[in-house]
Amino acid sequence: MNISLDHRVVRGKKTASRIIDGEAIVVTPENRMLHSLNKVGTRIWEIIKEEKRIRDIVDLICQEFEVSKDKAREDVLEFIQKLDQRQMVDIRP
Amino acid sequence: MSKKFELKVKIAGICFSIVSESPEVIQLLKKWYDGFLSSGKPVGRIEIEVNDIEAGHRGVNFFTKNEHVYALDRDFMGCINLREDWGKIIIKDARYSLVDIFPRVFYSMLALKYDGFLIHAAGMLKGDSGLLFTGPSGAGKTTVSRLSQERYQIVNDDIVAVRKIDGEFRLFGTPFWGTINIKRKNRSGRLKAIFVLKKDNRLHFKKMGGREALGALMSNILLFTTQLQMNEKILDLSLEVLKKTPIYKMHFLPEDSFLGWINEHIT
Repeated sequence: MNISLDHRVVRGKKTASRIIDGEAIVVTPENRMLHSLNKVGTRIWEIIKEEKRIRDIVDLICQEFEVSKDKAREDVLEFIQKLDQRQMVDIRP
Repeated sequence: MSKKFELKVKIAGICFSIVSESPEVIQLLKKWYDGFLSSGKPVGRIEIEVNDIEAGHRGVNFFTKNEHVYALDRDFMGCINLREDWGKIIIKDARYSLVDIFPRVFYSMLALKYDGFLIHAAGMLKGDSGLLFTGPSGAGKTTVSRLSQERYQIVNDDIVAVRKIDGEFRLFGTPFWGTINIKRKNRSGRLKAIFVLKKDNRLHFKKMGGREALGALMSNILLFTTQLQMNEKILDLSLEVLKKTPIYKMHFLPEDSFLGWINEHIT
């Protein structure tokens, strides 16, 4: 799937997760694989508890972390793409 | 209406009933679940029907839709209602390998509601201390059980129950599977340590932590549904177990030298 800034993203309905010591641990239910997210990934994971437009996630990350808009855009898109490949999120246009 | 036979089974203090019109099914389970039969009040109920069906392809498929879990194989088809704790399965014939599947699957989900879970592990007791040796098929659970028989009481060498009671995790014997030629025991002990088995050419113990420990524990817990609440419950229970119980990677040889290390450091 080609993901753009206008797509909306939300955590997968069956994806269990907990935040331990500031780090999100996510379990994908089909294969019971564990995924641990870094600080920024964990923040994005918190944000997408509710459905969000990727463009809005980028804005929030720019406000909260010292990162340029271009870099944030690139990193957030790449991160969401990875979550999608691992079936951890639902994405819709 | 045909007569239905009922059997009540209690594992880790959780009682459920198994109902069938087939006396062969009940006789098989009565024999195999000896020591785990109960007259208590059941909190769940399953029905096993024998009927000549062609259900699906070989190899079990589980899928979850809302609060139901469906199981389909060439020789059986079943459904479990997770909210109301009942289930029904139709099996092709009353052979043990088919009869035992559903109670195990059903119990793995029922136990979660009572802070318990089933795990692929050999469970051993010394007094009130319990040890779990976990790993997938071929990891060495039966080997470790055989080597420990003289010093520990083996409750099961394949599937063990763990349940939190009064804030403490205890391991319990189950009547499920088990390959070692000893009787599965309905006993329990406080969970003192967990060992993740790894066959090797030397004896070596390594304390595990973080994601590695969590992954090793969770991957051996039996759960047949993708339902969010159940997966969250497994995650929470696993995290709590690891907070209270040390977990080690145990590289071992097929001889009993590991018992000396455990005796010195754990029991």
